Amino acid sequence: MSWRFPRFRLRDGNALSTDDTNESFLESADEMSGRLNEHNWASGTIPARTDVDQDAAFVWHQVAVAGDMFDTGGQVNWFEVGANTGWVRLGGMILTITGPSALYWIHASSVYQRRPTPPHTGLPYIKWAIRVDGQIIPESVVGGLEGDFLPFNWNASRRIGAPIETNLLTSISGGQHTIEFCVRLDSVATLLNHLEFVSRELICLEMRR
Amino acid sequence: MADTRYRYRSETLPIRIESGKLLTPADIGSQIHNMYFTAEGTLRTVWGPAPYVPNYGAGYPAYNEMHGIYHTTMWGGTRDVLLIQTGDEVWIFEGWTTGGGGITPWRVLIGPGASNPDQPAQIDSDRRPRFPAQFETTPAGVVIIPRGEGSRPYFYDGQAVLPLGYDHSPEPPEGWSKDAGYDHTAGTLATALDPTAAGPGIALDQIPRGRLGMISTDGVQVDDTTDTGRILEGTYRCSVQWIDRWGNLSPLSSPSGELRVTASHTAHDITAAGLLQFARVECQLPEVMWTGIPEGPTGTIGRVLCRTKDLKNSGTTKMFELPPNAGGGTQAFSTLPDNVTVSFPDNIPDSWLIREPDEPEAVVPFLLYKVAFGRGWAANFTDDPSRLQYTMPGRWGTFLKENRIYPDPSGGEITGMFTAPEGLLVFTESSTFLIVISYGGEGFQTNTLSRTAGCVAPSSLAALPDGRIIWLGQEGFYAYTPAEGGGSIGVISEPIERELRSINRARRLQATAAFDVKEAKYRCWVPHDASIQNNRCWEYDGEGWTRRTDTLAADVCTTKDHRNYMLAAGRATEAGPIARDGVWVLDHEVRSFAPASRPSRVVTSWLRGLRAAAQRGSPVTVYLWFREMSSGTLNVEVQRDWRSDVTQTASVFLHPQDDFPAFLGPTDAAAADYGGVDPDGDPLTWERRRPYWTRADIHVPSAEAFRLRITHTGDWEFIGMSFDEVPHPDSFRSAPK
Amino acid sequence: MADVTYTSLEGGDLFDAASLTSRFTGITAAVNDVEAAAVDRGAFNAAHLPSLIVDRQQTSFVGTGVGGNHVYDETEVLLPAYLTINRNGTNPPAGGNLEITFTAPVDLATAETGGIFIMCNLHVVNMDDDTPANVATRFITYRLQIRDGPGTWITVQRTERLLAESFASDQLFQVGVRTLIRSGDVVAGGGVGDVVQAVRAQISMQTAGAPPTRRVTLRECSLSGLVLHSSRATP
Repeated sequence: MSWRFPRFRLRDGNALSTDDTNESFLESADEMSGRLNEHNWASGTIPARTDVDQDAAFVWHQVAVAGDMFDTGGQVNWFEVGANTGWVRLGGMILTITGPSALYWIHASSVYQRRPTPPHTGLPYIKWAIRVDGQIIPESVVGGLEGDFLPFNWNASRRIGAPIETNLLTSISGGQHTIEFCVRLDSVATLLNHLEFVSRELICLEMRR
Repeated sequence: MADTRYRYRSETLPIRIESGKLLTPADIGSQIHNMYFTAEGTLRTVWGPAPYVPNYGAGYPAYNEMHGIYHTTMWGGTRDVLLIQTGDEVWIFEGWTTGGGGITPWRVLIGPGASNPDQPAQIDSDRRPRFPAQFETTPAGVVIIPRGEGSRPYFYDGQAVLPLGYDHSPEPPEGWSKDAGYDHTAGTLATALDPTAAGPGIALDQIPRGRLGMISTDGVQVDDTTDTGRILEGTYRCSVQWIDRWGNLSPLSSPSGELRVTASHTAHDITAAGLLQFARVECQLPEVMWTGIPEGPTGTIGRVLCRTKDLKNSGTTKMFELPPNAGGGTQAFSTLPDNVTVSFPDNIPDSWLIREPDEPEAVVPFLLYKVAFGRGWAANFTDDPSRLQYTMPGRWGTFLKENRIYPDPSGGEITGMFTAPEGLLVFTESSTFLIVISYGGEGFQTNTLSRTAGCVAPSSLAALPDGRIIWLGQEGFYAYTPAEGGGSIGVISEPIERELRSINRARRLQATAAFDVKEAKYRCWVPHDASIQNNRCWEYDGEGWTRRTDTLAADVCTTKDHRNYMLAAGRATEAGPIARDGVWVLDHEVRSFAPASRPSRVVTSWLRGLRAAAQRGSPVTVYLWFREMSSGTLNVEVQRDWRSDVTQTASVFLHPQDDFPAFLGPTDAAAADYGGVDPDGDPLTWERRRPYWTRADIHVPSAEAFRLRITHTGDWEFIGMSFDEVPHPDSFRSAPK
Repeated sequence: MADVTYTSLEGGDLFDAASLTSRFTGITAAVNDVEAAAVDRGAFNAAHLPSLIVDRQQTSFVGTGVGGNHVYDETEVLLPAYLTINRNGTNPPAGGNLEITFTAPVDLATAETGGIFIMCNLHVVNMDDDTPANVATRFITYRLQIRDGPGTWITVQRTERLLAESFASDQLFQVGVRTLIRSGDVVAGGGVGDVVQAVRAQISMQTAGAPPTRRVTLRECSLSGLVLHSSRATP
């Protein structure tokens, strides 16, 4: 909508007219049925943040798992990823979000290591990425299988461990969507056949405005 | 009085349209001025206009001379955009700033720097005859072409406004490459050749990294471990192209200087231990660096880098787009998805180069723009007024060199465009063409609809609900009636041809029109009688014409929302009289703005003129059919025998005398107070205003023809009329003796 | 919230003051008590709405040492002890910590915000202990801590990260952590309440044996915290 104006001016000396009067009133009455738009509200109409619904603009989604990197016993909450198994979702790292069309700002953070202690052999290539609705988003992929990418800790005589992190900003249509934090491990070695992921966290900020 | 048995009563004449011809049927008037055709089928005085920004006590916004107005919605209807051009500035309406007593809910979108606009521009608007400002909605935003000497097209997406497209190309980058060659610091031969062997790992410098260059293995034996081929000497060149937030592409830069990859061969060396070691030739391929990549103007969000394949060895000199990722990507839209980076490490081999770039031209300012076939169509370029050029689909400011059309073989200036169901109508002053998709399926072709009928005012084009398209041409108003394979064009203003002769031909190009949904009429404002402004509005309902002069509109539009208001940018006169420039809502009236008194008129044709040859007669009574309107009266003037002199003036009441309606207002002598009673003592009630007949006795003895001029400066509503006359058979006006 | 009530005037309705005032009343009541459904989608833009940022804090620095480094030696960092990252690379921390303090303590139990989003990035230049034999076992760890209402620093266990030493003599790795501090994190870490006043980043190191010299060298580092007017969806 925008602004509405009376149709007729009721002048002194004019005959009564139901039609003219109704038309003039209905200009305003109609708008209150759902067409008040940006021009109908003054600047600063909503002065206080507390007047805005909590989820009007931003909704956080988060899933997190904490583990002890130095837990030599039960390795509680550690998640093992085997080599050459394709893209694997880190344990628990999935968000199912239902909402209107919005921008999603997604962050994924974790740490991996390899136990027992070295030596290991071979070339572990590790990639990590964010998967949206079953599709790995290429722009979120960190790592690679090409010779010109240096994987972390490829030198097998060392202790293996490093943090990993990636993020993505993407526009999403309304409805239900799944966001996952995935890794894949490719290795030609026989002994270096898995890595363990300890603490991990997947965060999504749904920006509705 | 004559014997009523000898009176002839005419039929009821529901006069709704006018004609300037001398001899017309009785139910066609000779002038319908400032009368509005109501939903009940009557004619009612035009009322209003209302200022779009009323005076809340602090005055009106300081408008300059008005040149354009446009309304549209964006973002799925959530963004309500009203644009006007006033003086040298384009303003956008922001109703929220009116709260708190502010009187300027307008913000300068485009204008000189001193006005603090979003987009600085020197429009140089003046009073010369020009097309009104042009606006066109695209799916991504609005194209704005301000009216003025220094104008160029702009694009507004509801948030940002910038020049449309790019008017110049970037500078080329520079290329750098490390000479191909072997460079290693560690590792053994065995390790270099066997990446899977156990050991401390591959030496970093022996992992193949570069991909540019071509390797030749001519003469190399398959099992030869000492010769793995050679790198051929090659050259590359690079160009860059900007891309803006709306997807528009700039012209490609000229190619960079040549970047050379030097020739090389399998390198070998003797280690300290006396071992012969080699590095495979693939390890010596270089990657290169392009630097000096220019940042684009404001609005640029990325750069597309294009590179040749090896000019010496690939067999092609074409440019190809450099992909931004080694793999695929869902978000990549250009090689550099930013407007910050100035250098690009290029490790993309020739085998990955697939897509050739689009090669747009620099945007030259133009005066007209329409959307058709999913593209933007620009016409009347400053360097070539006869050229029509269309954009790439969805890229509203990107024009490819090959997409030019010259519809008029004689090179006439393009003076109008309109999107019709069959295609795009393109006009010169004397011709009309229809652009359709080529019969071959690719491209477009031009069909000539008329070599005599053209359009003189691009803003006068509008469509009627029945599909006809109307515009102002050289000989009046024309209509295009669509039909399969191209429709027909005809003049529709023949009844008012005489009146249209006084159109100011030097300024007819500034005529502006729109179709009003509520009254269901095409309205076109044109300048008459040497006026610089559009001072008369001609209205057409599909059958005939009427006129109005309540507003001098430089431009008009209808709102693209459920309100269906007709808005005018121009001048209206307030009671005083005070002339005011501004934005007006037609056919609405508010208390804070009382329009200056203006006459409204129904002038009949020369009644009985068509049968004057048969006999004379003496009209004696005129019966007028009105709807009750007010407590006042109006005048009926009588003219006779084709003369303009008023021989008699009769006064009639604007309400039935035998059954008064209730009137508003305690100050009126005939009005009743609220809650009062009528003369019979019954409570007053609301009513629809009732039709009634009234009569006036007139005396027009022995006339060939007579005419009535019903005129009033207040409100009244006309339904029809009839008259009584006493016939005088076999009587003629005799020649002087 | 009030719906608009308007009845069209019909012929025969009494012409009195109420016939007009009642129609005004029907509309003004709705204007003075607007229904949510009366407002078009997207009606409120930046001009109408207040800022939805509750708080934002950020700090970043290079160290005061040579080349912008801040170096932590064997007296300062050795697991299980952590040290707050600081510009001087000293214990106690000096020259400015990698720490942010919110303008007002953030109460995660209220309806104001769904969480505090923290981003931390470190440039790890090197780790060393002058004992080549330990190369296979050297690694650094880092983590985030939050300060609760009473002022106690609480470790957020899920933010602990490890970086083992790679082959190259200089590491020159950029490492980071992202986390959303949410209601319950204070108590989960052994703190009291649900209020967070500040966040800091800490560093430590591990190596075999007890070599006389151990060093962690950092360079650029940054820590940012963002508190938005938001909710948090129940997973």
